[in-house]
Amino acid sequence: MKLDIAMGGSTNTVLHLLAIAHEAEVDFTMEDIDRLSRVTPNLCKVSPSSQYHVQDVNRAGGILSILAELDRAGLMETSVNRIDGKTLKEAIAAYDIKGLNVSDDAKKRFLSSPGDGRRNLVLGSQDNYYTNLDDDREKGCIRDFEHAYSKDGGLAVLYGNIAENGCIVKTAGVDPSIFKFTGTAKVFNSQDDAVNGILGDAVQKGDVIVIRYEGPKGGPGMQEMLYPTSYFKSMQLDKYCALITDGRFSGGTSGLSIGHVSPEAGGGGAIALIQENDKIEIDITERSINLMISNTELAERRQAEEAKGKNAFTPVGRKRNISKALKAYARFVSAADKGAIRLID
Amino acid sequence: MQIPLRSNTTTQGRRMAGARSLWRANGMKEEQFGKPVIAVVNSFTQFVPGHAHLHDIGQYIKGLIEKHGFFAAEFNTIAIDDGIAMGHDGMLYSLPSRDVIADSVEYMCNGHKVDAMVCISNCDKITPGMLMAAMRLNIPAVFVSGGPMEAGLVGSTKYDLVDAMVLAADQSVSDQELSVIEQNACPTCGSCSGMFTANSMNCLAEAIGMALPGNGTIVATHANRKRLFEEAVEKSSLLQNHIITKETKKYFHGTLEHAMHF
Repeated sequence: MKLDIAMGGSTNTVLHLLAIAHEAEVDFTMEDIDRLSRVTPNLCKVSPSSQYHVQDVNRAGGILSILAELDRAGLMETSVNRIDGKTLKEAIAAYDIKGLNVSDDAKKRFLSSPGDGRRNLVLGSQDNYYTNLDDDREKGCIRDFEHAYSKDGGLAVLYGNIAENGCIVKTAGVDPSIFKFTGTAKVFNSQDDAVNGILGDAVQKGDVIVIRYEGPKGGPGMQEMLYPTSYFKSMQLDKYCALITDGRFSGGTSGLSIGHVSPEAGGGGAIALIQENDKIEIDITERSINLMISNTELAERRQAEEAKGKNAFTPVGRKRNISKALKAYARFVSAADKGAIRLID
Repeated sequence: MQIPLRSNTTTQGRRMAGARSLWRANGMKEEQFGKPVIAVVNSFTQFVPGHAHLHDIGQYIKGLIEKHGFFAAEFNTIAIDDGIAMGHDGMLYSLPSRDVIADSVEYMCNGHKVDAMVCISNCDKITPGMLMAAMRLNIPAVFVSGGPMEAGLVGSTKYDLVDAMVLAADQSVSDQELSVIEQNACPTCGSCSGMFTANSMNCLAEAIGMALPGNGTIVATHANRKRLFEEAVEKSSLLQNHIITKETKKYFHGTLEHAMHF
């Protein structure tokens, strides 16, 4: 998890790590992610947050070199075992390109370069090498602690009255000028409506796009909002608007994009109670996200929604064919803050 | 203490004569009976560039494992290309496919009483689905991913599929310009070249010690990627001393618990 925070990886990893930990019967929750995110520096920015690609991370020494930088900053426990019988400490010693005992094998791995630029669909079919590694920890692809992009991590967990169980933002992709952002809600009950809204000029600078009923249960399937966020970028709104959703994002998403809002709209979450033109306040530094209405009004809205009976917390006006296979999935799936695992017992 | 092989259930004793007949028809040799049965959990499909190059590697790995006297058998999971499923109702199936993958690995490995597995994953839901299955099954497992795609090049600027998506909606980009980028954004096999979900998860598998150094970052086209597959068989603890232990879960426990000390 620390690695993911340090390299500003995809927010989906949160979902998957929670689910994997659940399968492993390890106690690991959103609170742990929140805590780790506050103490883990952002050492590496890769596309979509920079021009670097994964091949450049490799040239800079790969994952073990990032872990080595975290270790030098006193942030790693390295006694854990690995599949090759080494401890993490031993693996770092052999593969950290800034280390004293870096092996020839390590250098060879990390000098592996792309091919000649032509289309190539064959595994292991080229043997090109860079002539030198990227060992610049000040301005290179991987930074040391001293030259970190930020001292706290690439991911943050926000809490507030519209995300009582938390939501996730990839801070590595957010312009610091909008770490604190208050905007006007533009509400869409599906990704498709949101795309039409963004491309149809229904969204202006200063707006907070709310895309709801796209959670694990409400979608179902918790769609990725890559097109809305990419169109945001295309329309040059990404530095002036925010997007919040109970859906999720591709690792390709950047901008002030807040996902995994839990509980989700389809699970009775307060995100379902947001109305057009409400004010929403987001503060990444304070880790908060709130709908600026009184508790009384929020409670009244909830009562009105619940009064709809079996139609409560369902998307008004959404036309979507949902197969029986997906309905079966929706019946058992938990919210994003639990990793969208199935709840059977 | 040597823990008995799970596969003994299907290979030992008079009552398993039928199962042994079937194992033989699967290609199991007399000398392989009583040796570990290793699943090669592949995810080859021609629908996803991150997986389209994995057709032959599963059988290659089977050969490497069987040199050690064991029996290996390959099966494939499904894989959805999130980039192709994106932006329409195909995306409703993406996250649910993670659980389908985890379940299908469990079904195959428990249905046939597999002792250990080599997981060949790559794109968004496949690595987490297989990791979930590895934790659930709690049998020795090593992960090797198909590797990242090379970044696309137009002049000296690098592109990936997300650039193509973003620029497609940018009216200031001409159709001609867009066409050049579209032609070049995804030049090779492999998982898309940025730190998107697939590569994040494959880096993570490396960080938690379930995969070997370079798993997350060496490009799919490189000879050293193929070497990673060989090492996954030869260097991992998979084949050492016939180990059948609770190691898998311990790795994960250890990594996460230690991570949480800070």
